[in-house]
Amino acid sequence: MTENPNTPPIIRLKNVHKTFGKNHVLRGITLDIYPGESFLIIGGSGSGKSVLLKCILGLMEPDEGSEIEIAGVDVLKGSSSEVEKARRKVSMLFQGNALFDSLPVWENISFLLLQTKRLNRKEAYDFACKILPTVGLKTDVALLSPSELSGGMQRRVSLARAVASTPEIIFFDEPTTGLDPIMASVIDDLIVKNVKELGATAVSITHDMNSARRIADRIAMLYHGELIWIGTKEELDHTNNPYVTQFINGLSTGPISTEAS
Amino acid sequence: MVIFLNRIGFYFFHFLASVGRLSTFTFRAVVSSLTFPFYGRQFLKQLLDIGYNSLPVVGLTALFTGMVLALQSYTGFSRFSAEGAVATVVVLSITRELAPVLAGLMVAGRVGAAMAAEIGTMRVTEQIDALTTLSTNPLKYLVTPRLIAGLIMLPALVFVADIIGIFGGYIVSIYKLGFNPGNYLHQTVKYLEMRDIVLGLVKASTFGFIIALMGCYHGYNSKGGAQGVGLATTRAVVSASVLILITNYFLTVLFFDK
Repeated sequence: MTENPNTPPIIRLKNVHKTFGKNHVLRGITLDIYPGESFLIIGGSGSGKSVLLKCILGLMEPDEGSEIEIAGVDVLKGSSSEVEKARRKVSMLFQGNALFDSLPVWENISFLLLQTKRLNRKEAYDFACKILPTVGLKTDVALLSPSELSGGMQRRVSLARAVASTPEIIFFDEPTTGLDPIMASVIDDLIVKNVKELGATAVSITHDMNSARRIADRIAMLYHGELIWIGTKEELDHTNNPYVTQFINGLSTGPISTEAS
Repeated sequence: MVIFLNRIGFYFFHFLASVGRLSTFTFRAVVSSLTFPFYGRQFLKQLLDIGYNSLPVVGLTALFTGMVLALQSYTGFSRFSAEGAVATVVVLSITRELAPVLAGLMVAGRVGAAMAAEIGTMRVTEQIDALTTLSTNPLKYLVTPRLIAGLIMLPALVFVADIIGIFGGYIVSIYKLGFNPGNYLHQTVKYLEMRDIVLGLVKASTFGFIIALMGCYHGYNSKGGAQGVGLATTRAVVSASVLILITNYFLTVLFFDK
């Protein structure tokens, strides 16, 4: 799904700034993301992608004057109960998986359902065993510790945890980083399938252009903390923007400086 | 001169900022422990880890401290024919000072380091961020159970250390120094007051809180990768040990009666 003027955005960012000392990482990001779309943010290392995601998720506080709305709730100024309610609609797949290594796989997947007492431990275990095949894992991994799994399996468990609470919005932080091309493609397919089945909105960041083309409806490019281009994935290949062209083609020459900053 | 003053000012403000951050963290952690939900399984795990799993190291420390204390007291007191005071010195030293302080230092090394390393690793691998995205307050989930378990389990450990330490002194006094068992036990209980034991346990509870707080604080605020976690672990043990020794002095002054 792409931008629909009749549907209010599920995520709205207005003039989002974030500075660390003298380093201005986000420079007035304004962006609307609509329900059901798969929105992807591309950009080089250090362009501010992860900081933007963390600001939306409430893991980092943006600078004064920034506005962030999730499902119609101003998460920076709203009451704590409203914000809590809005945040429960959100889940995240972390770049390093961030699985709780003190808990077995099944408890990782059912974590939220256990903590909110929606399920008892037996039901939570059964629930995790039901979810595991949907991400291509056998149920006998349920009792293993995350450290006993391969990188690809950990990513699948992380995806299972992200979809387990049937969120309305799922964030994917570099979902294919560190995986071989086949596993990356498998994870992309699983992301597309699970997001579609849930009817959720997906917001991803990546610099893997193969992955970007597989999972995105709309794509935005972040450069030095500013959104310099937004369009559909079809428009991406025909853009005249020299920054985007250099980035998607992986060229070492062009307007994007390749010197370490 | 200006450079020197600048440096002093820099370290002073850095110190004040650190105290401010620690105070804020402590306040938030204590407030978190007063509100629902309470993570019972985490709490039980910490009770076991801080209490039961620390028993061997604390027990051994207490046993040998009691034994050495009896020998050294005898060496000193025999020079002015006051050997009879050995039992009293052993029991008062163990209950009022040695058991709480030594148990505190041993647990700081064992548990404080483990807390900082575990929470620090969770920080650098984004597990703490993951808790937040799963609508779980990391302070309530990670810090509160450790603080309460520290408060409860250190006194329990010190109570056991009191018994083992006194027993160590008894063994040496009876089998090496030739004391009469009945007389020794009589001397042990004769001058021991309930407030001696309670003072030791109050100290232990305070030290338990300090150990858990330092472990959690340094782990929670660790940065970077393995090096950051290593630094957090070192800071947790050093700061907890130093704070235990300083707090011990002030608590002793507070409870001191001439």
